[in-house]
Amino acid sequence: MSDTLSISSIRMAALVTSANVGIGVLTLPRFAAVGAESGAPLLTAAGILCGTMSLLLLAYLCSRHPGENLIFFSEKLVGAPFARVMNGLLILYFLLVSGISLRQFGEVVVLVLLQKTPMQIVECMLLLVVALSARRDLIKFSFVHSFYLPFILLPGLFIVLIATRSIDPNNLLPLIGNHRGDWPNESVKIASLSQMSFVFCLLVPLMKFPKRAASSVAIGAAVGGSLYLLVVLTTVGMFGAEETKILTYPTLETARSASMGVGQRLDALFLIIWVISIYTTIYATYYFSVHASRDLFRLGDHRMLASFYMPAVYAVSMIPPNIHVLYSLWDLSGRYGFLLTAAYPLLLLVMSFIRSGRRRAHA
Amino acid sequence: MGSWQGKSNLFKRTASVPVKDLTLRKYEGMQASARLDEMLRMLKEVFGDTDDIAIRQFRIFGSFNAAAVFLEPMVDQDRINRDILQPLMTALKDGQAEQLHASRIADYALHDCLHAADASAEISIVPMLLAVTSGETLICIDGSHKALIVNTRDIKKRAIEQPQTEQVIRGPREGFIESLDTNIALVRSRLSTTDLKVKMAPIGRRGNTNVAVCYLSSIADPAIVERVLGRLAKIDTDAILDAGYIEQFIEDQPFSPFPQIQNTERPDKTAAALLEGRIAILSNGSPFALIVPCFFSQFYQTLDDYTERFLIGSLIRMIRLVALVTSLIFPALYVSLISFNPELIPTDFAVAVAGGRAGVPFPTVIEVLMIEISMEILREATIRLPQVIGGALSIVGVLIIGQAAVSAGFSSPITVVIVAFTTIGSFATPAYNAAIALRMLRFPLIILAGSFGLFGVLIGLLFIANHLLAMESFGVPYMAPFVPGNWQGFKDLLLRGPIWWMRKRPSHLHTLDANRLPPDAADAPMRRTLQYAGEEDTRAHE
Repeated sequence: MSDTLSISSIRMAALVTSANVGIGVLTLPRFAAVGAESGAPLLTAAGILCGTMSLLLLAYLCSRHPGENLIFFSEKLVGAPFARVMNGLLILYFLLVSGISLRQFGEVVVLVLLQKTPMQIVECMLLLVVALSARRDLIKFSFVHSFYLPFILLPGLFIVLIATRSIDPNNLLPLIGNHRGDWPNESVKIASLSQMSFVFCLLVPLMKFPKRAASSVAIGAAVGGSLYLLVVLTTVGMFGAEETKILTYPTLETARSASMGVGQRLDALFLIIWVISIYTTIYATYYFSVHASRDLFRLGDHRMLASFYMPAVYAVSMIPPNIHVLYSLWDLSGRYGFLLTAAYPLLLLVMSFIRSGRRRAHA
Repeated sequence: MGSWQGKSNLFKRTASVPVKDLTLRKYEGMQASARLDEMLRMLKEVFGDTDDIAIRQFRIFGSFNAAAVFLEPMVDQDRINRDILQPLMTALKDGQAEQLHASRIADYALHDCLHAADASAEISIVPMLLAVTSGETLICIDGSHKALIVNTRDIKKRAIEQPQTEQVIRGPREGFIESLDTNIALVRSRLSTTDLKVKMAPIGRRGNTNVAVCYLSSIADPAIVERVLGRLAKIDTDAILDAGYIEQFIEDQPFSPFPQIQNTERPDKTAAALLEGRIAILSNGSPFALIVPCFFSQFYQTLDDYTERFLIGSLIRMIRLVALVTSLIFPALYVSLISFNPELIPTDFAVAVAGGRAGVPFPTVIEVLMIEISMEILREATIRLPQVIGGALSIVGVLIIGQAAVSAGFSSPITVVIVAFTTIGSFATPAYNAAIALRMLRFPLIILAGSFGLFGVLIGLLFIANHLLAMESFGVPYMAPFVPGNWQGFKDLLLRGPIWWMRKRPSHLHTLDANRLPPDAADAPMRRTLQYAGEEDTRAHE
């Protein structure tokens, strides 16, 4: 029963890509343009690299402990009380991320697709799908991600391909931007987009070859990152940095302008496909919270938690009174979240090295 | 005898035949009496109110009292006369009869006299009674503890015909019939190998329906075989009137709209499934074989894909896939485009759509739902009618739905076109049960489309896809070989690869023998293609 009990390396990579590509697709060009103007692609590349490095760190850490997932081995590495607090923080962080992503999603859908429908209903529908599918086990979770991957990558590539002819290379120069922005800070914000696939740390023990986790994650993050990079490249190249800054959803505008060439307005179609990538992303973050809580509280089953967290995520999504507060909250959570999701695994890795060193010394 | 009921660990039985019938329970474990009058009294007690029972008393070899008991409508009386009564009633040579002891007479008759291939001696009551009810003839002999059971069953069966539900353009024309023996023979004739194992046992307290489980022992995964037998052994019901009953007892997810077990009327399809490492379940009285475990992809594959050349097969398969998707989402897409996103419709066409909808009093979603429902009613009405009336009815339906509804301002012509497309699309799906599942699921999708537009349709599709991804059939992922992916499986998924190229059996079935073809199977066809441009090289023979 190899395929129903274990996860192949390719599926792991697919999972990382599909979880990473999501909410950021629509807004990333704006963030990058605000951060570095015409240096946006370079900034994105830096951010993606930064995020990928942190994921690789985590993957390497997990492959050092192939028998258990992060929740369990962290308690052995740094002691149960500290690890539990940190794991609890991770769970809360990803609940927060799910909530904020859900809100962003709701805002876009209500703005473009369903102007007359209350945002709450739109959010509830997606949350319901997420919560229901979060009842599945880890293997089925990986199935879902690998199934939707083509629907996430192909439309994105399609839009990018059509849009390339409208790119003005002058818009992308100078490569590092006109002003010296706060690059480290901005790239961390972009790096936090990669942390959506943090959930893979729960799946490494189920892999057929846990030692290959790092390479799978690297491939997955690279594919997702390249899509992000292409999107930023096209959008900024098409509109120029200054205009990108004032567009709320620059990628949507790219899709709109690109489809004009075909003769039809296809942005609604693009947005519908984009819903899939949002779904997989929120599914990944929500699933992490649900499954990690199960292991943290040592519960036998996670299905009750899957329903139990729904109101919490919904409440978080309702906190920001308007879209400006929403994006500043997103900003804030991205920055501190990346600190948490990158520094904690780093700490664990250091402890893991120290402990194995000590063990070797004893032996 | 219940060969798999004995084998399955889950359901061990001590009695050779499971006794569930109340009358039979009374005689459970009892042995036959040596006295003929006692046996006859017992038989009259059991079959007292049964008027079609026949008890024919006679003397074996002119010296031993005996009685033949059978149910008249179920036996071939000529055979009883010729193969049982005639040899037994012929007097033996002088002196031979005296040497025979009454207790040995049964053995002597069985081994030396009866000209019947399927005959046995029995000492317990229950198997004797079961034999009589299944159309065999019971011969009780005075003075002998053993009774003889001779198979004289003769139940009328129809001839082997072309399967009604799975016709092919090119391929065998034989289909299963209601007789289990014939069906097994049809499969066996295609796979004459000792590997083909057939395990039979009766299911049902009152029906005692014979059910056969067939698999190839050198290919099928023993774990799956064990799982199938285990689930079958747990069925406790009155009777199995069709294989469909079994399907519902053993499927993984009874509440899913999707079929998780394939059924087929075709022996060749069954044989192909066995060769892939699947297991076939045949039941007496049903012309359908159940095939487990099954993938979703099997529901849009047909034998025609394989008998035709692979390019044509692949193209036809893709057409069928388009039809499958069409039958699910086309009306929902139409509703959401018209009501929510008309900007996605090309401008010229949008004018036509608006013109067609002028004067239609309902919102698009109501209109589409109405026409869809009337289409379903029409389909349901014609399906069971005799063909003569069915044709007349479909003309009425076509006229009313297609023409009158439009001219009465009831619906727009484009709606009719969309609904027609959908219906034709669902008829293009070879498996009726999968087609109907998708057809019914399009109703919630239409409602979602009417309420939330494209977003609603997508949420509905996510629900359906997630459900499909979570499903398993006997421990095998339902969406295999698409998810979890498998390169060899992809050769037979959306396309149908050349036969000499599909070297492996489906890996998700965990077959004992993974290779269907030798590793160099593709060499010869490829060499012909590449080097000799389709011509055999004559020099190679020199």
